[in-house]
This record gives sequence, structure tokens and C-alpha cells, in this order.
Amino acid sequence: MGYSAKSDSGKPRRNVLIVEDNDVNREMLHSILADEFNVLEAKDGLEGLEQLRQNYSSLSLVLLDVYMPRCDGFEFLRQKRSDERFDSVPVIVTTASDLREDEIECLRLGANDFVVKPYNVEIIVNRVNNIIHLRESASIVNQLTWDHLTELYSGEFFYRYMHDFLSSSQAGAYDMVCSDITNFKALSDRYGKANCDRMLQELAKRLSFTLPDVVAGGRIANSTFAFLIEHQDSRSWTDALMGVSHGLIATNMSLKFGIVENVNHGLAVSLTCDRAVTALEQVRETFGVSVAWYTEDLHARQVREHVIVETMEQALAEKQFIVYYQPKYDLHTGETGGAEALVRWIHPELGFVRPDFFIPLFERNGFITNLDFYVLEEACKEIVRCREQGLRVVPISVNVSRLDFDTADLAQQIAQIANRCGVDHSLLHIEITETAYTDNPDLVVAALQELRDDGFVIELDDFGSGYSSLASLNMLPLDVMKLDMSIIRQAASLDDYRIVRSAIQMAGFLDLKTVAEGVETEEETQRLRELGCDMIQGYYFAKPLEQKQFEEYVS
Amino acid sequence: MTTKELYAQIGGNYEEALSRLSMDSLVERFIIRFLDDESCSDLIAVWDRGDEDAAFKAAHTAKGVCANLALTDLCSLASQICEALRPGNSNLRAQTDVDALVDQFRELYASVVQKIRAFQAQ
Repeated sequence: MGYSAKSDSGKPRRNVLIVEDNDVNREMLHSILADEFNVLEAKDGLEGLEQLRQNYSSLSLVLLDVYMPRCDGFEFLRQKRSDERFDSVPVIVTTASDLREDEIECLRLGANDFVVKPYNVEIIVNRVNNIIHLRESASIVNQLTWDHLTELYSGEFFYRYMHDFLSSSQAGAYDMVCSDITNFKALSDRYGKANCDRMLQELAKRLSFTLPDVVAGGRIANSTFAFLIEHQDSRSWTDALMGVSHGLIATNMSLKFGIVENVNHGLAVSLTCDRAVTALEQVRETFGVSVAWYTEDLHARQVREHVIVETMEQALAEKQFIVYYQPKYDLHTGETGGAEALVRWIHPELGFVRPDFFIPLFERNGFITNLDFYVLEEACKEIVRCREQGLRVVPISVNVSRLDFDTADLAQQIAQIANRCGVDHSLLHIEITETAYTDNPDLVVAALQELRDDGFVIELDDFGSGYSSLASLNMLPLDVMKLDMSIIRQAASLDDYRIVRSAIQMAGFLDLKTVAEGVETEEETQRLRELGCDMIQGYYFAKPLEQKQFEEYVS
Repeated sequence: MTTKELYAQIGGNYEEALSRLSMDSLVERFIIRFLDDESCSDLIAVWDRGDEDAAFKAAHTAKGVCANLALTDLCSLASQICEALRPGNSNLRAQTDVDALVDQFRELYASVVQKIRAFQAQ
């Protein structure tokens, strides 16, 4: 009798254990079952329990005799019931049909069914198959239907169930509400998994009560829930959501809601949920509880983003990204003192794509690093071109995203590109923003130090925008501070340069050169010169120039 | 002698046994296996020892084995013994001459064994 993985019908063969002390009965059962099942045998209850302990995870069913020496069928059932690992293995009791009390006792002890002696082959094989099938499908349904932590539906089941529901209720109008705890990882690190699990449990319960006219709810990701509710004409119901996180784990829990109104019945439910989450992303960075709705604008934006992500690699290969160079004017020498490499994208379908649209997108999907390396290489080639044409060679600065620091050996890779092109390191300026420092200070400081030791010049971009911190000035190995155009614009419009002056003075104390960005007028240029600023960059002096124009400019 | 003829001689139902085991060779194998089976001799031994509780269980077991092998006559006797000894069946126990039943069973069993041996030897 071969022991094979599959039966003749192609189904995987199930393992069945026969517990029976009588050799003839046991062997006979074995012969009856051997065509369809892999059969294990035990000669009494104790052997049966031992087999169960060893094989419960692969065992589909036990056929159990009642009267056996040492450990009888009742004792077997009692012992089996005391260990919940064995719950998944059903038991059919084989008995003579004349013992009603024994049957009842066996059922009470958890037996699933009976077959009577003398054995009827058809009855036994079908009963065994039916019980195995029932148990397996029940356990699959059970596993797939429920999220056991929150008692919401599992994500997969929620999607499928809602799909069926929406297909069969074309007339109804529904809204999809997705919630997410956006700082869940931080909470989980701080309070531990068990506490966070309890919080998710409680939150699921509260949402089920608080949301109006709930059709069903599912847990679609670790900390993300989705609820389909009947469409609400007024949005005022969302006021009730503000209190829903009250007293849960931490006052700083960041609970966000994204809502898609009037769900499209024909759209995959997972996509509807994606849209709700996209809406939610708009308020991700806000404090506390916030609600956002999925709008037409957001949809158009999503479509555009989709096109961009789909085509970005091809765009890079086809050199759709054009590098422009914006000259910097040296206020001491009155000459061009450098240039910043800026990337423009002319998309074949979308046309000109604004950098402030695609760069954040690339920063989210990591593609920014490919783009930054591309720009770096183009800048190197430009320096070489200028040199070979006998033009003035000025340092070119390139932007390095905070994400680039996730690249192991970033400094070495940058050096390799420069070396391959034959560009002196001092001619390449690396521009970083403070956000790089806040993400992963040690890593960033180490990489910058390595670059600086290797002769590259480090510039801090956008100083004065956002949350400039004095700590980052102290910690980062820098050569140049670039004053953000916003503080230059503000100073110019208020005619008050005190902040600019302080920044320049501070830079001086720290031995940093200063570059002012966004300089637009002669007057601003004059004031900055008086304040001791080293260089200016802006439309007053030169706008970003294409390669040819730039080369003419420095000739 | 064929297995079917043997079954006729020992008061069994060959067709029933064949339907259970699906092949004549298996019926033959199991009827020979019956020679090693101790359930019938156990029943006789515990009864002779005077242990009625054990005899009930032994009769129950013997009935099961005989039923599975479609040894109809032996099964019928084992069943009568079993019912008479069933705990709680005191009326039936009082009306039944279990000794006589066991003797019949003893005699039939001996004859069945002898015929199977002869069949095996051929």
C-alpha cells in the first residue's frame, strides 16, 4: 500500500487515525479506508493519544472504538478535549449500534459522529469525507471571515462581502469610512503590542457604535478599519468622531478618517477603500482626530500620480528629465560663483510637470534616489563640458534627498560618479535640507562627514523655512547656509532685514558661507551685500538656464 | 473449496463480507485472520471464569468482529449473550439461560475454527 500525497481523484490525501484494539476490526477498517486515505493505527486509547500528540496538525480525523483495554474511547475523548490543540481533529466513534447511553456519552465528550459495526463501506467512507470537508471548510471560513482581535471582518472577507452586497443593492447609496491610527507604530513601540491590541479592540467597538447606519466593518490593515455605512446627507455626523479616541491609550493618538461618499457600486471595494485612505492621507500630518473626504480634485491628482509612477522609470531612461542650471552671483567678486542643478520634467502626455508635484511623490516611493543620482551625473558631465570648451568652470550644487541617506555607502557612490566623470570633488556641492537631519541624525551626520572629508562641499538648503533648528546647525558638518527665499521675501516686503542679518551673522560665527535664494530686485541685492551675504541666487541675477544657455552664460 | 463455499459451511453471509471488503482475496485474508482473533475465545473464557461484567464487554466485542466478518450465526449468538448481560437488562437476564447460549456459541465457534483451518490447509 503506497503512502502517497494525493488520492486518485487528485485531492490531497488526508491522514486518518484508527484507534481500535481488535486487530480484525482495525485491519478491516484500514482496508476500507486505504484507497482514499493515509491510515495510521493505534491499538488502544493511550497509543491513540500519543499518535494524536505527534500528528494532530496533519491529522484530519480519528475513528475511535469505545471499548478498549488500558484507555477506552471515553477516556480518549476526555483527554483529547482537555487540549485545545486537538480541537481541529474530528472524531467518529465506531460502535455496535446497541448502546444508546454510550453514544450519548461520546457525543457529550465531543465525538462528531458514529459509524456502526458491522461496517458499511459506503457509509464509512462518505461519513469520513463529509466530516473532514465540513471541518476544513468551517475552519477556512472561520479563519478568513473574522479578524479575531477586533471581531470585525477580515480585510479579504470584507472586500468580498461588500462587493456582493453592493452588486445586489444597486439602488442604495453608501459611504465608505476608513480610519487609521497614523502614529500606530510609535504607540506600539511605546506601549507594547498587547496594549495596542486592546486599544484596537476598543476602538473597533466604539466605531461600530458611533458610526451611523453601519452595514459592515472590516480590518483592512494593521491599524486601518473600513466601514460601509448608509449614505449620510449631512456631514455633521462626523462631529461624533472627535470624541471617539477619548481615553484610549494616549492623548496624542493620531486618529484619521477618510470618507468616500456615494460609493461607486461597480468599483472594486479595495479601490474604494484606497480612495478613502488617500483622502485620509491629506490629514495624516495633522494633530489629533481629523476627517477628510475624497474629492474630484483628489481623484484627478491620484490619476496624475498614477501616470507619473507608471512612467517615471521610462522617463529617466528616455531623458525626459532635463537638468537646468541656475547661476549664483558672488557678491564679493561680482562674477558667477556657482550654479544649482534643478530638474524639470517634460512629460509626453502631461506636459510640464511641476517639481513640487513629482518630487514629493518620488520621495514617497523612493524613486527620488534614482533621480538624484541622474542629476548628479548630468551635473558632472556639465562641469566636464564647460572645462573642455574652455569655459569658466564653477561649482555646481545638486540636491540630495533625505531618502538618499538610506542608501548604504551614499558617500562612496557619489564619489564614484564624480571620479568616473573626472570631476574635482570641490566642484560638487551637496545640498541637503534639515528634514534629512531630523529623520536619522547619526546616519546623515556620518555620511555628510564622509563626503566632506572626501572634498565635497556641503550646503544646508532652505534655512529659515519650516522648523529650522539650531541643533542641526550645530551637529551637521556644513560649509554653506542657503537662506530660504521665504525669509528674503518677507524681509523685502516688510523692509525689515533683522532676521536675515541675524542669520548671516550666525552663519559667520559658524564659519559658513551664505547664499540668499529668491533674490528678485536690485534693492534686495544691495541690502544683502551690506549685510555681508556671500552669494545670491534668484531671478534678479539669472533664472534657471538650459544647458546651452548656461554654457553661453558662463562663456 | 472457495471462500463462498466456506461461508456457506460456517453460517456466514459471503455477499455481505464481499461488499465490505470489495475483493474475494481480502475476504479470504480476513476470515483466516479470524483464527488469530481472541474475542470469541475471550468471551468463553471470561464466562467460564464467572465474570459477567467482563463477559458483557467480551460478547460486545465478539459480536462486532463477527458482524464485520459477516459470520451471521456466531454474531447472532454473541448478540443474544450481550443483550442478556447488558447492565440494566435484569429481566432479560433472568429469562435467559446464558450458560446454554455460551455452550452453543462454544460449539459453533469450535466448528467454525475447524472449518476455516481445513480451508486454510487446502
